[in-house]
Amino acid sequence: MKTIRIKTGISIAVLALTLFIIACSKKSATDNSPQADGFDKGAMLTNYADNLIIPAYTGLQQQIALLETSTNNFLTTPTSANQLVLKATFKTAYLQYEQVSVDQFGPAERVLLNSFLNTFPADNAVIDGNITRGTYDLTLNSTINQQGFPSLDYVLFAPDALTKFTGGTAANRKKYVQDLISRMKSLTANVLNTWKDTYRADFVKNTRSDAGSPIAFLINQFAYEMDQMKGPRIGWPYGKQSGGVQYPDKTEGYHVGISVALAVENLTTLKKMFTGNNSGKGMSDYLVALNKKSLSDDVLKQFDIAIGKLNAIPDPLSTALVNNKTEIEAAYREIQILLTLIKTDVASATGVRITYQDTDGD
Amino acid sequence: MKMKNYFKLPLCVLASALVMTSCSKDDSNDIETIAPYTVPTTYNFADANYASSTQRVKMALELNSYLGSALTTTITTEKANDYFNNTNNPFTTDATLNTSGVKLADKTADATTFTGYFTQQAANSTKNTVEATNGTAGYVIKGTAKRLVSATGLEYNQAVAKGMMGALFFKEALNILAAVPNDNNTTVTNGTTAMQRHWDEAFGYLSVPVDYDPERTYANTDAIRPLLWGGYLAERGKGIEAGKVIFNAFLKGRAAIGAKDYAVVKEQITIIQNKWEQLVAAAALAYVTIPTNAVSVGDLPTQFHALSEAYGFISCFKYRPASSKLSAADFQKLTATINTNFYTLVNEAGFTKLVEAQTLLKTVYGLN
Repeated sequence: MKTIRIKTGISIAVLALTLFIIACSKKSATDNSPQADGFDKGAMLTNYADNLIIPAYTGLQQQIALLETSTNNFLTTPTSANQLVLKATFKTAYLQYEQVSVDQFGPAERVLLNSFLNTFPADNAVIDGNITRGTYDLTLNSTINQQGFPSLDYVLFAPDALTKFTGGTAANRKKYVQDLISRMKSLTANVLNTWKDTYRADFVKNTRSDAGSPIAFLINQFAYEMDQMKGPRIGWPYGKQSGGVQYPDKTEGYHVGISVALAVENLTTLKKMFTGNNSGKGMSDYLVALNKKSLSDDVLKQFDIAIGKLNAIPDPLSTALVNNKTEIEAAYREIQILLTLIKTDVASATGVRITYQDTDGD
Repeated sequence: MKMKNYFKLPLCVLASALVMTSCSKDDSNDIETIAPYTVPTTYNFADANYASSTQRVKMALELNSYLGSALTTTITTEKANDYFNNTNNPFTTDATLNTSGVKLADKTADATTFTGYFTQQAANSTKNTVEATNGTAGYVIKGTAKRLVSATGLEYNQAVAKGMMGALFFKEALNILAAVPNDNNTTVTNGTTAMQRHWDEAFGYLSVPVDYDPERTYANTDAIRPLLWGGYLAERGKGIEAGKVIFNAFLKGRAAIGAKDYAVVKEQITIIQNKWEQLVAAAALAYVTIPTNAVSVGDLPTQFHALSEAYGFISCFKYRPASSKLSAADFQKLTATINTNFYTLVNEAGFTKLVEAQTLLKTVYGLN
């Protein structure tokens, strides 16, 4: 009797306390990520960090180191043979860059890696001015189109580039190239080290999907890269935003002529990211866990179709713009379908708000 | 077994009693019992009237729209002042405003700041065909996005629009609410007491429909939709549930006034003050963050537009409630940052000043 009473009393007290807590605790910001029973989002994020993102940055760091060696070799002896060797290294490094393009958040966002490494088209006139004067500050945000891969593409591989490395401004020009490389090196090292030192830990433990969470970043970046594909990479040079007026010289990697290869690498990486490299721990698997298997399948299928159509466009894109309109139109169509799937359907299925186009009407 | 059940019931009652007492703070010493009352889900209180608030909101919108037209036409200070003072029948979208007897100037703090902005915007409107550079007014353009900015990058129409959200609507609403506990709640005139009328007037400055639904996405074509602050409840306040919290507090407070449940009225005032100020912070944070996003870099119209909104929203803090968590020193720091030449702010390596402002807002207001 007594025992029962005490026990009951205790349990009621606990109940009361619980009720009290429920009734009085102010709700902290709610996590509106959808329910995915039995799916380990932390393991998914760990997979992204350890098997995809950090290795991609490590690869970029290695490629830029090789690029530096090759560049120094060319600068010491600026011959067309050395330029050719350099071009091959440059292409490899640029392709490797496409593997990190989608990772523009966290440490990369902090230093504006995409802006400083791959704003195209480069501002050729300003670059020439920088070289002639010999004074510039590449840390200023206004100089994003005076550095990175697109600027190297111009300075090293424009049709008259070789002769300029032996002419009057050769010394300034060589220094400019070295400054560009060292800036790419330091920015990449900064991002990679921040990932390893601090950001990885935060990234893998935050399984929410509200604005600023890793899942929201990933989905936003998938959509953003697709927007870039539809716009600056393919659509804009082709004339989609200018009533058919084409801009062949505004393509990505214009002088080395690898725009299509870069686009394919970009989209292939995107698919790899979407599936978590077929590890069973990717966004595609998360969708399945959310009972959206058919959407996941549709997206995967559409990736393959779009990559196939892109591959059908021959490089250089600058000439394909005129000669391969059918192929470009076909690729553009499939890119658009994929964009909609990701930006609308995948975003809504994962409860993620697309925030990168954060401009309001007023 | 039977025994157990026997004991459960009274203890349960005790439990729920505990819940109630521990939750209601500040039950004042009046032992007067309060009759039960219900809190409605819409602001359909009998004889609620906040026409003058609604009229000022509409006036501000017409003024903003006139100032915004400076991008494509030349505007004048005189005409802008007409909107501000309701002189010379300026209102056309809703012509009844002209004879409403209400004007923006009545309730706007720091009026000369705003009339100064009108002069600046009128002057800039004569430069709307030249491209702006650091040091000269004109337009900035990227793709189809075009903005008219001052020599330092500021869009004066945004300084007015968002600034007045502070100097008029936010300030008025909070001042009225702060005074509500001392209002008369016994003498009924035209169906309401002074306390109720004031509460309604403050609610009007939130400018949401009476059946506001925080979950709904209102189209800007909806005839009845949230305006100004009402729009920002969703636009920048989703993450902090500003719409739900503030609207519900207005409903609950108004119902409590009817029941003379003053402890609850005071609670709601505190809730509204805190949440509304946090909404100001959330908006300011969004607009000092957008310019630092990689996607905005090199896009002056986007960056300057965001900073111009930030300029307005940061100025709202001047009218923050006495209970504010923002210290005078921190307010000054924010003001100094947003008064910096926008070309300097967007060009700064690592966005030092803007990132500092972001951190400050996040820390003080618990935002992320």
